[in-house]
Amino acid sequence: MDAIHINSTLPFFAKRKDGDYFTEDFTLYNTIISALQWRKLNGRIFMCTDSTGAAYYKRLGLESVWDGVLDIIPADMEGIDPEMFWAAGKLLAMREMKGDYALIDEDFIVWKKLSLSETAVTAAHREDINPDVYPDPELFCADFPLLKRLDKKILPCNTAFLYIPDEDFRRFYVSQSIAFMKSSRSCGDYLCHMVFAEQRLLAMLCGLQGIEIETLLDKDRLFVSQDDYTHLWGAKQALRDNAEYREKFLERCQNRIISDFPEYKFVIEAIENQPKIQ
Amino acid sequence: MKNSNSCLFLNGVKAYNIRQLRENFDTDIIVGYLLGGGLTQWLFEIGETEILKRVREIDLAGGDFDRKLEFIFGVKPDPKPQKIVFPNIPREVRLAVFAAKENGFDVGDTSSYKKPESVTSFSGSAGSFVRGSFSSGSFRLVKTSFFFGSGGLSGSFRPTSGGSFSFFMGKTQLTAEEYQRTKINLSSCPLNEYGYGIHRI
Repeated sequence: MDAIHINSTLPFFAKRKDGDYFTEDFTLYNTIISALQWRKLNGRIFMCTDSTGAAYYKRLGLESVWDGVLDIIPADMEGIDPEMFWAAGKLLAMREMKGDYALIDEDFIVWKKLSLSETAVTAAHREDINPDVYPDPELFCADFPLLKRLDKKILPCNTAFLYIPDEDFRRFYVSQSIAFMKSSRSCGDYLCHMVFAEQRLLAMLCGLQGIEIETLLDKDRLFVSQDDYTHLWGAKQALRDNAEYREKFLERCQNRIISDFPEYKFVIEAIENQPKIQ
Repeated sequence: MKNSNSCLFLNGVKAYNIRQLRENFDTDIIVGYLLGGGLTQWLFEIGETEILKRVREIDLAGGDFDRKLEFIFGVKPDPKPQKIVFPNIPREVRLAVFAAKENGFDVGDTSSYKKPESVTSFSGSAGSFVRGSFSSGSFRLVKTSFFFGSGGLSGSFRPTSGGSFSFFMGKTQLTAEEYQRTKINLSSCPLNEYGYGIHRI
């Protein structure tokens, strides 16, 4: 099965007005292991990005990590607020990508060969409806009439991994999600609108159309030991905040690349030579 | 190339062609397809080039998408602004029609009004106006209240604290083996507390 990684650089520049684009080292290591591990067991994987992202991977010499680096995300994200909707690039890339593929977040690794449903949507796992993260959709700063017709009781899906086998349903989800983002007004929220557009709306639209959802993991057992999937998730913040965590993690990533993918050892030098987190 | 297997998901119905789209016209969903880019993709795929051209002429930075789409697909009259002619209709009703049109409310053909003596209500093609308030149709109230403070929230995830992790474990049924493995994994990789499976790297 094919897969895609997605990286839109516009949210980076919304926060940092000056300087060149870069990805944090721990994310980049994780992305590379994710791509190489997917190619090892499951099939091809492509990096979908914008022109700045494509130039960045080329400059670092990382293009061969994927089966292709595709410059398909509009650089201006079609006017969508990049701070409010920092993951909008995922939806814009999915709109452009045809055919059968899974979407894998850069901080997610699949360690086993997957066999997925050919009819149901597969997501990483469900999430509970925490009102701090998933407030009542009627409170959103958006003029999106479909909201009032959606079932608020359906649990959101974490889309760090997402496979939608029905291409027409994928277009339905992607279109409605982009429409929601374009219908939203900037209001100082940088979390709830985004995760609604990406994660909760997906589950609600599945409910509206009678599409089943399967998950890779049980949401109530995420932190129970398992060896099939890695998701950095909130650990990214811990890695920023704790230098000791970060150093040990980077060392483990380097060792993993050297042991499992020795022909890609060159990426370590490329990553170490790029700017560090300020 | 024309692809007749491509469809739009409407409300529980799939539309494979324009006839099915019109029969199951769902304005909320089709406006979403328009803004999200899926409508033009689909029209291109099914080879409806004439309609595609007209849809592409819609200014996505504008508004009134529902009425424009309804007109293009032939389910409602032309939404273009027209000179309003009031044939012997009382002033109160004319004002109501004018207000309705100003607010994007489709009142249909005003010349069909037949009760000049009654000034408290009239009906249009998409709803009704009764004693000064809109009761149905495409008129929408615009929300003005925001619930987010100026600071807002930031970040994509709130790291789980040790306390809530314990709570999580507390409500999850573990086998003895899972419990032991989890303890080992957490002690070997504290990052697992914030994500999962990180020990695998």
